[in-house]
Amino acid sequence: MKVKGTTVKASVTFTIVKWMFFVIFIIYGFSLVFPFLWMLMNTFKSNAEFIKDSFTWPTDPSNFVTNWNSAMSLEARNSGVAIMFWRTIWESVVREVVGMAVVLGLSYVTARYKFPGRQFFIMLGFGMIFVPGGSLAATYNLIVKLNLLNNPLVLILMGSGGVGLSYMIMYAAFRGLDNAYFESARIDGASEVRLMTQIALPMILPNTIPVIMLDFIGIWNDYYGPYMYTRDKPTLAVGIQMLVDQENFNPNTVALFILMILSILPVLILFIAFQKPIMENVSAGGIKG
Amino acid sequence: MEGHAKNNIIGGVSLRFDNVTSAYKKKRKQYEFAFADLSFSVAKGSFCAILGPSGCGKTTLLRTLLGSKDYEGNIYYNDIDIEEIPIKDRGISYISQLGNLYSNMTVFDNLAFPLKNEGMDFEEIKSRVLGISNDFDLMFLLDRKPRYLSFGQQEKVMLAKALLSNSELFLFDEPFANLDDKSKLEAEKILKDFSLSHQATYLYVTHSLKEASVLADTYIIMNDGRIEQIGSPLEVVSHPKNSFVRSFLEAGDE
Repeated sequence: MKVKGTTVKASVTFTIVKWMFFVIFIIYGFSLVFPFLWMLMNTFKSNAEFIKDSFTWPTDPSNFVTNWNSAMSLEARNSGVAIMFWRTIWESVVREVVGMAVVLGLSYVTARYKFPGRQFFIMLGFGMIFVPGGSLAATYNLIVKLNLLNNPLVLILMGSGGVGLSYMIMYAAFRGLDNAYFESARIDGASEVRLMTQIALPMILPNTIPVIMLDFIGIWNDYYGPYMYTRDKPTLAVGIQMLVDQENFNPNTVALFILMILSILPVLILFIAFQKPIMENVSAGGIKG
Repeated sequence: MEGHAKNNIIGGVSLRFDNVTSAYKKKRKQYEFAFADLSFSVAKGSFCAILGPSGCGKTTLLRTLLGSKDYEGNIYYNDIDIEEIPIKDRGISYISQLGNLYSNMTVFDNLAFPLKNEGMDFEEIKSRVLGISNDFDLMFLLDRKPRYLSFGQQEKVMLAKALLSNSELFLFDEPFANLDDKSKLEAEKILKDFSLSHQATYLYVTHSLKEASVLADTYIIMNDGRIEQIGSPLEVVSHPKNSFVRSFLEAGDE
């Protein structure tokens, strides 16, 4: 027999609280998505219609085609939209891959091997997070003197320091792997390279995919670096800002909306693609205590 | 006793520790000895239970054999100094509490891993892995990840893997410590059957006298980095050498 009285009372309170939180989070979630939905809606209006009232439903959705065409014809510093898009993709990917290779290499070696000077590298890895980025003027002068201005290599070099938060997380992840895996892999005759690439890396990867993704999103949205050092070859973030400035006096805002939505699409796709493996693997880091 | 009969047939010494000392660094120039001046030998083909309370140096003893703990003195393996043999050629299988199956690989890849490292070609690997899986009744598990296996199944995979790489020395580090009683019985039975049918030397670290009494034919009783007594279970139980061994055996009976 089920005893109802008290449990029902408790669960009513619980249900109310649960729904309150539910509503609060729905509102919060909507407030985050709303600007993008609002932009998306307005891309189906003509610019005049948008200026008149930005909160009505679009009357003639075919305006989207016109807006798309004018968005695609925009240019910032002689770079068309397609060029900026492609540039952003390859620069982000190269910066991420090079940066992560350095972080992974440094954290793996310092976490798993004993060698003279190891403490120094660990200190460097952990310590650099507290050191401010250095004098901007000095860095800029250095880049100019090195003749690297407007060369994407600058951004790749600057992103490959291999220190900071991702180093901390990767170091902790490698450190946390149980010795038993390494011992048995060595017995199994695995070379040190194979040990890293086929055992250590795959084991920490599920836990570090969020780090890698956040890092990638940061790079994709990076405005400051490309603005300072590769201004003549603008990425999407820089290019859109330039277009906003250019169009200040005669703005075709709805066309810019299309560009903004385009610029978040890859990140969105990446997130959706990786959502499942993240959720699946975060709880299954390997060893059962 | 089967174990003794086996020893007599093969004869010879598998492992010989000669004044082996190992220590952990506590602080600058301060060391804590895991064990000091340890000398004993293990007969070929015996199933040796290393018994003792926590922190008596049992696990460190195994780790010296795995090459992951430095030591002073000499360890001879089949009368060769073990340091002269590369780790992968020692023919050791190591099964720890954690299972030691690579959690990121399927059972097939786990079994194939040592063979891949030898540079064997894939067809050969495949036929060997399938053959051994057939013997161990693992065919239906080959494409699963270890975390979806029961412990008994994981244990079988580990033993199958050991056979594939022709291990002659099995090291166990409290492999069944996390198990409930029922799975422990099953796991012990699997290991017992395996050890009876496969000729090798087994070192089994545990603090449970019960497990040792099921599996082992030799007891090594350790305390505080020293060996208190070595002998057959009967010998140790009927003639405990000192008060520690006696109290350890009494506590284990509970």
